[in-house]
Amino acid sequence: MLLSREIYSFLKSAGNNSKLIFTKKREVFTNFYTCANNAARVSFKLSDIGEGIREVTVKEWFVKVGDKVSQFDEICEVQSDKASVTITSRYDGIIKKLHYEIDQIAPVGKPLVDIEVEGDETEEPAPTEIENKDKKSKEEKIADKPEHNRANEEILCIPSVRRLAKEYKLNLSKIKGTGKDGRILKEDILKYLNIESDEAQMQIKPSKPTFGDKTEPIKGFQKAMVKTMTASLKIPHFVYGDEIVVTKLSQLRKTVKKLPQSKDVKLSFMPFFIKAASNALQRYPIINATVDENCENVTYKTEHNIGIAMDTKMGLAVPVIKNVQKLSIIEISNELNRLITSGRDGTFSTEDLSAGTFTISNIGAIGGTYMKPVIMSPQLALIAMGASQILPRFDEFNNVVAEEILHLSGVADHRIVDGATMARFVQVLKKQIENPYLLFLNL
Amino acid sequence: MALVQRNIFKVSAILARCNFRTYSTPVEEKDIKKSVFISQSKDIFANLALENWLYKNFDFTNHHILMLWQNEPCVVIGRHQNPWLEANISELHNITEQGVKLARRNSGGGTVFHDQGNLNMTFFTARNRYNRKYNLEIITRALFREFGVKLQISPREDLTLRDCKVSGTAAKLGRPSAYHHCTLLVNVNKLCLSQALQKLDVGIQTNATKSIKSKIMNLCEENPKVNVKTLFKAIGWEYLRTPALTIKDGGMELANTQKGFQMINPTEQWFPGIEEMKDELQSWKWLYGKTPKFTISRSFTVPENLLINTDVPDDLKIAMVVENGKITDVNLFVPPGLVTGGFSGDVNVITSLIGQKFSEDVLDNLEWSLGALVSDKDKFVTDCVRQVMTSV
Repeated sequence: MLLSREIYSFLKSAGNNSKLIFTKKREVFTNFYTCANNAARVSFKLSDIGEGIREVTVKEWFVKVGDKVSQFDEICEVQSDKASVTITSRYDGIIKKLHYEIDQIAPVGKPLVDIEVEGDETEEPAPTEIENKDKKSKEEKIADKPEHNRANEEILCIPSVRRLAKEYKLNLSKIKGTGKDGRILKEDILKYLNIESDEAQMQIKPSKPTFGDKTEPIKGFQKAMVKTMTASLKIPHFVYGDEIVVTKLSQLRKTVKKLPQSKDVKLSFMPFFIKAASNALQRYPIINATVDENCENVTYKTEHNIGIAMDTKMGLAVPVIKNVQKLSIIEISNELNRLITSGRDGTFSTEDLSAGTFTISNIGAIGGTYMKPVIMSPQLALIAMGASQILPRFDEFNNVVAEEILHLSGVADHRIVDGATMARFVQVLKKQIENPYLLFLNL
Repeated sequence: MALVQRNIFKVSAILARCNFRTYSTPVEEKDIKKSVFISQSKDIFANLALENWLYKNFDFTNHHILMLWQNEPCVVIGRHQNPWLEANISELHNITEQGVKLARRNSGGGTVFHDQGNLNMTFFTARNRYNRKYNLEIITRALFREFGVKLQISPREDLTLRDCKVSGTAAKLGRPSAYHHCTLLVNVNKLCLSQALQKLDVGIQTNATKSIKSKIMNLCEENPKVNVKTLFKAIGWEYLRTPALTIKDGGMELANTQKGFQMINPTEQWFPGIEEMKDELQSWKWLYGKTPKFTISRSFTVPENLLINTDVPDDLKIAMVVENGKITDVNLFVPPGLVTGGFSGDVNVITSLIGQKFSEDVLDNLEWSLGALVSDKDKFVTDCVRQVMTSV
């Protein structure tokens, strides 16, 4: 019998819960050659349920013959009088035989399933014949590069340590074993987790916080932030920054505010920037696109739904102004004020928070000049404005003049957007802000 | 002395506990602390989801929990039961003003009826500490101490009073936690109960767990002072004053060292993931799709005008096999008198039922899609099929 079983995929047939589908593999094999000397076929007996119960009825199977199971996976559900018991596997291995059908009575102490337990992990993988047939794995995200996997070689560790690793969802191949033959010990796992391997400390010490510490659960907007930021981490960001002379815009704003019809309108820099961005997006539609999860398709969006990152009392929220390309600056300003009020009250609708295609952050309202903001998946770019400062600059006659300068940091997804496009986009935006009359022309 | 705390429930503390397990020494009785959780929700699905969330996410090694809850009128069937066999499904929405909901719980056992005169208790422990007898003792002691009512524990581990059942019990054991929950009939509307659970023989054959009917009585019939509110406190305190593993009175001194009462609101904020569990519990797939395979057979007398051969009155028998809530097979036993002439058209109606959910609206869709059925015979057969589904 040939010996070929380096790599396998762990498949969990879903009972009620969908659990982790684990892929530890290089290529997928469906031919498992049984190896007489290394595999052991074990009869997993139905253990004592307690309460003096002698027999149970098998109600549901969560596995079938040929399935791979790990220790503590659910095998079946049995019922005894009024207790419904979930039986979990004691071994890692392959299901070889189910001894009972559904609704049959199974006595306690008798074999329930036969499992072919994997041989000890000390066996050498000897890849002889590799037949790459149809994949058993349901996992689509298969690493193309063959990962050298210690799972098929020597991960020595005792079952209780294995369980510990599993509960912390650790990949054993990442942990260095310090025991005999490279065995992974409990201490190694604890060290890996940065916990002191102190027996006493393993006991439950729930939050007995020191005086002054405050622990809070992460919920609401903060939780959403955790989620989105983790997703954004896989986007390769690049930053392109420039300074924008906003002196003229500042003057324009002051002038407009004095006009009788706009006396009551709250007008800040933002609506101008938003409109400028929208105009620039017309020229460079790739920046207003979204990309799907696997980075296979780019969708060019017609609507400019510009999200405004704002600090609300619940945390970071990014409400969206829809269809900016159709709105005038005053309309944008009104919509922005509405969203700011919502932010203050904490009353955003889901409509307000969804379908953004581009984001602008005015973190400069708090302060700062340069920043590297994080793109919100599935968008492709984001700009953040620093605080405006009065700085000395040279005019065309080489005189020193005071100009109001605002630093802009633009960040984009380098998988889709190249540096030149982003640079040009920012330049178009900059030109409109520096010469606000262009803003109106572009309308 | 009031340990009733409307504390902000530190989920983080619980989650922190989830990740720490004791591996070394077995836990000693004196180290096990107890809490009483009182659910603020009266929605059966929210409460079942909360129960499930605690079972899946909480570490009970050093911390036993008693959950006390009440629900608006509903029928709760056991995990491996057949709703059509256990409850009067077609009538449920008519009983009481708001109708009676239907739910399937995760533990085994039979069907029960809940309303606001019923108290539910769930005792959570680690798997190796599961002890049903202990839990029932707590209840009997509480009732005696507070109201002087003496309950007996039947051989099937039900609580009885004067040979009438006052409580139903069920349990779920898994790794590493287990729970035992039971009901207590305090002041339940017996009329609604019997209407909801009324079952005529509808021709269902199945291996699903069948409920065993028993005579019931309310605790308030024994002692009018017994009501759910006072019971919350009585049972809660009894739970807290008894040591975790042995039945003896630790007195209020022991109770005061425990973690006391907490009001729980089963929302996503405090229990992330609970909404998903709640949705699953309300889904068709769980409620009806989890039904073990069954066959339903009905016979219908063929009206004389449809029979060719009136000497041999015969019945049309319809047998449907339903698996996972969906029709997988339909067999028609057609009497000879009905066979000839224009019968083949019906086969469409029948075979297109296969794969559909076992419910009446399926037939409406089919009839509509097939257009007007032509002959009386077709109509008769379809009508019979409909009756099978609706009268259940």
